[in-house]
Amino acid sequence: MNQQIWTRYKLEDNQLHKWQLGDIQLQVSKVGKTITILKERVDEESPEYLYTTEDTEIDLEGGTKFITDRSQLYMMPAMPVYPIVFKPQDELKIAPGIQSTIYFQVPVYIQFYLGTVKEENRLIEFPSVEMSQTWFGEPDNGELALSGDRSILFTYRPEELKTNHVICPVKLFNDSKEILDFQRFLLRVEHLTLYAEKSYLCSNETRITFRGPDVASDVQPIKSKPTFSQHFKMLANPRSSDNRNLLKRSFHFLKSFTQ
Amino acid sequence: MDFNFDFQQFLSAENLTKALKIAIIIIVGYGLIQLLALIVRRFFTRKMSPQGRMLLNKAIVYTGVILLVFAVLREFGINITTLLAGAGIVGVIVGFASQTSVGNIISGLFVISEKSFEIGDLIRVGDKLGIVYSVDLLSTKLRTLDNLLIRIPNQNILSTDITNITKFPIRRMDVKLSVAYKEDLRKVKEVLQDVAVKNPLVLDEPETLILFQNYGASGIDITFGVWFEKTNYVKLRNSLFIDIQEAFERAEIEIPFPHVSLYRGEASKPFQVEVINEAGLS
Repeated sequence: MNQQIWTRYKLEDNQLHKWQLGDIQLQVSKVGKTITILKERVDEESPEYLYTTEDTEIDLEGGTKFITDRSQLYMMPAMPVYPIVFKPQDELKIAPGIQSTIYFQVPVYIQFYLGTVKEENRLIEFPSVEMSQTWFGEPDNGELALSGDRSILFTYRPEELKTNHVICPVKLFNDSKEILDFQRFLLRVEHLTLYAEKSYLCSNETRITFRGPDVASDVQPIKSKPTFSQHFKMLANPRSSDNRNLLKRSFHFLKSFTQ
Repeated sequence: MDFNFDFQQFLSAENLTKALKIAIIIIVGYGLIQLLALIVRRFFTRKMSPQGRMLLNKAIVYTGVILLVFAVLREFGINITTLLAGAGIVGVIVGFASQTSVGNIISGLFVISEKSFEIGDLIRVGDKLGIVYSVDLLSTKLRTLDNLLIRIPNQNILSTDITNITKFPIRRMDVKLSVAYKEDLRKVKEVLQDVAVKNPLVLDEPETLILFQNYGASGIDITFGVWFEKTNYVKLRNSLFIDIQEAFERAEIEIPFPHVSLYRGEASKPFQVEVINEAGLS
């Protein structure tokens, strides 16, 4: 489905806007000065439509209501609020001195803005996929994160990407003298910028230099847009501009937690 | 007795100047103390614990007020050195009378420096459970979960075992449950694993603990331990009990209750049981 959904919508009275992304359905209606946004979980993994409108007078029960005189609504993607832990399905090891680019798929958050895309105009945001929470690090010293998809890609294949997912390229360089056992990797998505090309979402690249299991890795989100296409347009700024937590660990090597 | 007080003499220019000077000392001095406390609070205590901040603030204010009192006394023409010598003797007397308080103050300093807990932590001191409300020089105050205030002398705090429940960001909740002897333990393990995976408040890592504990009186006892973010305790406990109950019902796993078999003399001959219908007829 090559349809650009991250855009502006004009809300008319008694018109229902519907989106279906993965297993969630979003509905927006406007009656007078009241805009109602409703998010529901649906069973269908392969939706019949991505976006559609219906002329109907409907009261979206259970939705969040906003009273406003504006009628322009923006639906925008955003990076998740917590960093994401990736545990590859298959064992992955990177030899010393080797550099490799890995592509991670991250489900985006959906944000609705009124009028213009500005922080103060944001009505609501929610995850497009309910990701389970996890802990990265030791029980006495770590950080809260979300569990990422277990499959990782070694080539950029946007056509395989779901509409509510973003591809995050990570260039890894093993600068240590030992094999990098890729058990658990934390991607700090809150520092990434979102770009779009057609209906595909992509983030800027993160460069990580691994120097050893006991040394903090050098993590650098590259400020420019991804290089593998000339047509990327910026959609959303990073959530966080505070780079202090980039100095924290990006890899975790498992010890027994339960003893 | 002569009650003819000469206000004219009292309101002399010299006395008025002195009174004005004292008033200025008090107003400016107190203002400076508060300003100093504010500056220290704002710029120098960011990395300190809340009780450290509170203690430093009190130390600045109390020291400042004592110095201010000395300055005012000097303006009244009172000799501070003589006063301090007298205070030494008084101090010995007061010291004997306030041994417990001094003990508590010293214990308070140890409690603060040890950093076993901070304001806002949920702690258990002996049989008392509460959120640390304040750590003062003489006592530590807890606010219980049903909103009562408990004052515990610092000496007691120092000599009692303290459990800090919310020190670390994540905790493990151990649910003790039991399944009937007839159940397939592999299936039970799978069902519990599924309950943990599907509950959004359960962390994926550290791993969920499923431990077959022992062969109990009525069934096999199991410890089901899930990790969670410390703020989600109540939500998780309630949702987990509902999830376990529903998952066991779906999988037709029996949660046993204590069974008692009664025998009359010979073990092989059970009681005769008669079933009576609704009308009361057998």
